[in-house]
Amino acid sequence: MEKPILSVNNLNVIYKTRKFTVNAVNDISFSLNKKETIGIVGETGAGKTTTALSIMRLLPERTGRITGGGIHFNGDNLLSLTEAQMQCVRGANIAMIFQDPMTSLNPVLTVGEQISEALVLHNTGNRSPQQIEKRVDEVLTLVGISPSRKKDYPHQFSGGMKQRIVIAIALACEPSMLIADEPTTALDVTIQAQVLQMIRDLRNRLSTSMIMITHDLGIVAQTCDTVAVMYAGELIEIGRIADIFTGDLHHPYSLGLFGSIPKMREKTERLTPIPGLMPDPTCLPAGCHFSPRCPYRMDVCNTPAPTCKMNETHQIRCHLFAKESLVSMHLPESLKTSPALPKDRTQESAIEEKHEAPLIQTLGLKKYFRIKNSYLHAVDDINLSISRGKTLGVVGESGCGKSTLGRVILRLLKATAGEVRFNGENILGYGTQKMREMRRKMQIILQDPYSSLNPRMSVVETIAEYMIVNKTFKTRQEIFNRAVKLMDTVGLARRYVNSYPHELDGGRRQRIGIARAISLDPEFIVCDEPVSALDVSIQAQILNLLMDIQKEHELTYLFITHDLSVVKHISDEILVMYLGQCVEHAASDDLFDSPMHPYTKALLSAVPEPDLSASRREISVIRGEITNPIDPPVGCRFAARCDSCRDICRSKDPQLVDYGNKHYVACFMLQNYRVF
Amino acid sequence: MHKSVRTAFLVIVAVFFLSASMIPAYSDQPKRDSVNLSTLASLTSVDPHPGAENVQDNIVYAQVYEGLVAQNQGTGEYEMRIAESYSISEDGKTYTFKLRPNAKFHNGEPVNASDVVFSLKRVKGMPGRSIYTSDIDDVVVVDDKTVNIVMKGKNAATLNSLSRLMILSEKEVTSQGESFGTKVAKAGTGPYFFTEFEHGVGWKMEAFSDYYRGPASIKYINWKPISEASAGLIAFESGELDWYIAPVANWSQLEKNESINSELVAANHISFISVNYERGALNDDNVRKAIAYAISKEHMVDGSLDGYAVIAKSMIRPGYNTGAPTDTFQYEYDPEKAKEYLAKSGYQNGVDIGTITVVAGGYFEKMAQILQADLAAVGIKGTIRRMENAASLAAYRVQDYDIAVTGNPLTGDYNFYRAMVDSHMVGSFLVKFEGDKFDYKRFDRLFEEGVQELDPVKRMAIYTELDKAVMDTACYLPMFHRTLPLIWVKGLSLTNYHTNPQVFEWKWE
Amino acid sequence: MYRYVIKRIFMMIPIVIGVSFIIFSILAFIPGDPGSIILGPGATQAEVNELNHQLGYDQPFLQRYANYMYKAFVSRDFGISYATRLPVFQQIMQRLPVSFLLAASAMLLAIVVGVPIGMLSAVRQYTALDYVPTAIALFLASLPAFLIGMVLMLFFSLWLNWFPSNGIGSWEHYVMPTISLGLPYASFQLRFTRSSMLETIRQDYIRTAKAKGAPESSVIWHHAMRNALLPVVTVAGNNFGLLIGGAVATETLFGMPGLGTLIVNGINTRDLPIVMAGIIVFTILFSLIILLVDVMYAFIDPRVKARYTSGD
Repeated sequence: MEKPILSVNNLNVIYKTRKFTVNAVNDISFSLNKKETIGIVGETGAGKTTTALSIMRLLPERTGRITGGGIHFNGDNLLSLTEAQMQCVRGANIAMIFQDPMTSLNPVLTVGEQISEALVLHNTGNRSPQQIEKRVDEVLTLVGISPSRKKDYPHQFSGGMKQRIVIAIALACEPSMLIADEPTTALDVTIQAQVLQMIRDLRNRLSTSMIMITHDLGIVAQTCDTVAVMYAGELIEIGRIADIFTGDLHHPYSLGLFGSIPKMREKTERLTPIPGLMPDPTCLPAGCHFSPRCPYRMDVCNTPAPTCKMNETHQIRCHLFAKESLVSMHLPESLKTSPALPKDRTQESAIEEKHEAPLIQTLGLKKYFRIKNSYLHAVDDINLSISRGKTLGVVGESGCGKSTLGRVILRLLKATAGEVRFNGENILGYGTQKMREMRRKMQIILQDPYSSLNPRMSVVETIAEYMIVNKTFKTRQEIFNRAVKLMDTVGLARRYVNSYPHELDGGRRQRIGIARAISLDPEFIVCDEPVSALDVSIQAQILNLLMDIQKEHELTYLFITHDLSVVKHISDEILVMYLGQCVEHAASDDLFDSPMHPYTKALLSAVPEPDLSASRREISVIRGEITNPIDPPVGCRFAARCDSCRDICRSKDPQLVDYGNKHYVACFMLQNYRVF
Repeated sequence: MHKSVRTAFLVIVAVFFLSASMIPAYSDQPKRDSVNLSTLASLTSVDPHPGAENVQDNIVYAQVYEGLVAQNQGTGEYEMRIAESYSISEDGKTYTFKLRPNAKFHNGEPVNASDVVFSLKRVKGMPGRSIYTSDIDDVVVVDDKTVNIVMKGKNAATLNSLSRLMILSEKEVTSQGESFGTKVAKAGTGPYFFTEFEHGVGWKMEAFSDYYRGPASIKYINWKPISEASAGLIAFESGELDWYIAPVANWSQLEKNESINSELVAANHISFISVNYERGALNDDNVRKAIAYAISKEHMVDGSLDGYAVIAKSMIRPGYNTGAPTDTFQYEYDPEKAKEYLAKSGYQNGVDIGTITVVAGGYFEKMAQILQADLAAVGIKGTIRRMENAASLAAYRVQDYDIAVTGNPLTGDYNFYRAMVDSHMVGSFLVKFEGDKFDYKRFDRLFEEGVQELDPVKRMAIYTELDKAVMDTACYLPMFHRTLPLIWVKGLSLTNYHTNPQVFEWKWE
Repeated sequence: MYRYVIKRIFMMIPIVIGVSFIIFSILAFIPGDPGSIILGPGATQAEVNELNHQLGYDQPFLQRYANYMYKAFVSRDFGISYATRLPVFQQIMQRLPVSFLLAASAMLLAIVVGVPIGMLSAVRQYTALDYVPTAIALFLASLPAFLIGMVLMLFFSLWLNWFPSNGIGSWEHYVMPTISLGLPYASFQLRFTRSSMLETIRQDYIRTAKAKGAPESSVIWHHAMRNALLPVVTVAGNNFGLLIGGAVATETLFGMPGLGTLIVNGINTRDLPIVMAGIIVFTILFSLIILLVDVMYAFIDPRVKARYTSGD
């Protein structure tokens, strides 16, 4: 067998502070062959980044400590190198790309300086300054940035370009191994697609081995050869990509992880989230760390789980697969299914065409922000309507105006023009008193549950707050009783009544936000990226909760998100926004089955899917960057990035046209097709 | 700046002093020809009559400027200065002064009668000196060296007034015009003249070689302002100053320090309490008397100045101030009597007299606290109202206070008391004696009679009557006369120990 | 950039008018008048009124303000001090160098002592090199400048006789005031630099630099330093501006004729021309220093420069 470029053996890492010790990485082993890519998957706190930093020997100096194991790179044990020797390895042989390109570049140095620094530091080839400059130009060209921009500073680049520069820095010395830590998480989906494709291309061209750390199974499916699943510092499953995505046997957690992800190409009634939370790393449960959340828990699970070899390449760390327990006999059927295989689509009965008036309707809604002497067209002529009990998903990349739209509808921002109708009445004309009553019927759930909660108010106080302000009940006691009932509704255990937000995790905080939002029995809720900040397993719990509450209270949602799979899962209809305008509006299934607008198509194809059948195909990456709609010129706003753009697209505004079954698209090209 | 910090530091400084005094820092010096002095506030002008009389400025002016006569600070007697003799006309109104033939201004010009006329007429037009100039009717040149000063009536305070009015060179002052006062001028006749003057930084003087009493022994004086008392003390200890008026809090240490000279000197100054009879319960004579009897002057001296002050028997200290009576009435501390008076007034259960106004900081504030405690002991309640100096002056001038704790320097003649009592000096001081309550016309008349009585014995008799009458109102309650610790280096010989020094008389041994 | 600087200079006009008006109003509405102060308690009300009239102090408030500003900015006549009858502008210009020198030397001391030690403390966090300077800094910061000045006086003037305790005139006169004024600021700079540096070395781009294989010295000096110094420069600039007019305690203690003391004495004696001119000069100076800091910022931080150039 080929000698691996990197092998990690029984690595243990702890974080030690005066107060507590965290076992961040427990006894993990894996190896990486030349030219191959291993994906490390897991949720926040699983130990993915710690593993990467251990390989780089960049753990926080005071707290982080490798307590055992070995890391061999090209046969050398990295852990026995001196710091000076390690500095020669970093950047030259192993390079790393970090998550957030916005903060990964030094703001006061030019990008050229930052790229050439690595070259100067590892100048083994004795390059002359001119040659180094030449190499900087080469590397910039490689990542698709004009070398003429090397004298520019990071702030002059967009997020996607910054990440390209970070990659350029990493690749400058042609390292034999690259560690990419969530390289695209902070990017918009179309940009993510561009960057991912570039990473893949470069890896193939430069024959670099790669560790891809991600929480996104789609990215894994698209880029990796081997997948390692981590949970609470342990490597619970590792295997070739085929083993993981199409194999039969899986660790219960991996299975849960797949079940938590809303799939784009199938409609499931409910997600199957993993119950509970990842354990507190300061006091891990004895034995298998996953056992408290595991549906297949056995008595033996309180002893450390053995690593079981399924085949040459596939290992699972779980008692269920231990030979001595004769597992295959008892192995639950559900564990044998391949999680990612598309199931038969449950044929939805056609949506009943209720002809009742919509609960929420906007007519020609506009919101312009004045910036110096020009206007930013954040929301530009949006017409939408949502029937009672339905969900309209609003999708778009950052800066498309989707959050502004939600706030304008709620009158949290003043509309520039147009109407917002609630039950047919234009609420934009309401006076203060009338609007105050109306506000009870309309609520918002925000993205960041932490910053939207007052840190000095306990859970029950937070939930009761709106009811106290609105004097829903006569006595405080009644209000608190109701608040506690609401906690039950959103699945918050009663023991958290007097807890404060900082004591709770993101999922529970979001539950508080939801409880508070429904406390006044609203009819309409704007959900502004309510699950974006949450890990997938928690995300699934919250999405299920939102859907349950909707059914129970006949709520109407405007669901704003950038995540296409989430929106598909929860919405009845979807509105795709681009630079303040609606480009496509259709029933959820229609949109995903037959996207018509080039932008929608690009968006959908840009999402990496956790599905081998969909992966490895050449995705059509749309070029260009998202701009901003400041005094936009006449014409289709997507024209600059559109491959099928014609002259008419730049000279006339496209109108939304119904292409049947209430599928509205604003694109001239489609009109042409229809004509011909 | 934190006052408590400053106070704490004064104590620390004092402690360090004993140890510091062991080090002979400034002994084996060759005979010096200069002396370094300081004032608490910077001299604002070289013009001796720019505004109000100011104790700090007078220390400086005393070296440079002279009047026709001067008052001896030890005895209160008047000595001849620019004038060599004087005579009084039959009607007692005209004073004829003969000028010294050898008296010269610093610019070399001889002192002529015209300079006297110029100087006195110039001051007469200036605000702030009316107490000295208001009784002067006219100044007339008789010949070059003789001048007649015509008073409005007979005036026993004439010499006192003239000792306070400096004679300047007409030529020098007019040649400098508007800018006189802002830069070095040679307009005086005194033993020293200005050689440098920079506001806020310092000023220098040189002995006048043509001085008619002979040139001064010490040739130069260097002055600088040091507004922090403790900083000044350090400057003295480190040898940067040769003579200094130290904070009284340090006296007990300074007194014991063998390596320096020290002397505790009484200042011609009165610290007193003023009661505004126009306010509320204070309108009741019995309440004011109760207050007068409730206050212990010993408490005041001990509490506010560590016991280093002279208890005042009257507002104008006898001895030094001409005409000040020795046989005066004063309220002896007697809380029982105070309570009796209070009972008489019907306030046997106590009374709130309002506020005790005081300028924040310094010993006045401590006096106010002691006053508050003494009054509380007999059932009188007062709240302390701290004010900033400028605001307090404005408030006192319009009688905007209930009880005020303050103090004032005295001028050397009982006639100064007019400024505080005489109804003609409208609004100039704390208590305005007007209306039906008191026989203020009698006060005015007695002042008039007193100032016109040239016989000292009879004059004092009039003032004795007047002083008792005013004291009976219990509106002004004298507390004490301050004492100031003078310290000066060994080797410097002083013939007088005054807070207003005459460097002319000093010598290096 | 130039446009930005010119814009900022023009912005100073409303600031000066606003600040001077506020000061003028405060002085006009607190009790006490220059006549009372100059003439003292012995003068009669008539004399006081007469003097106030001569000084123009009895005119209506707004008229006085308008007159003053008109004279100051149109005829460039800042008036004559009530107390000394010296031209105010001349007096301020005499004192400005003293204050400027004192503030500059104190800030220089603060920076020279505070910034390197602060950097060192941050880089060597949790070691003696961190604990000891931080503890000393905390101790010094809690002492008033007055107290430090007193201790210095005792040691260096009284016992060692090295430096004069009072006045100006030679560089020796500035040593103790500089130390007593500068030390608390040095400790402030130290703590500020330390926390700024600590924050900087936790930034992602520092990790990026380390991942490049850069040795620690290069990471600190090349990457962290400039970023960490950004806020330090602002704070030092602001403090410097404040010190020019705000070192009253130190100036008083060491008998230094500075701008702050002049203004404070002016307020105490209701010497309106002094206070007004002092405040106006101080405001302009302070604004200029802040502007200078902002311009410096642009040279350190390209992001800021971009913002200025675009004119936002």
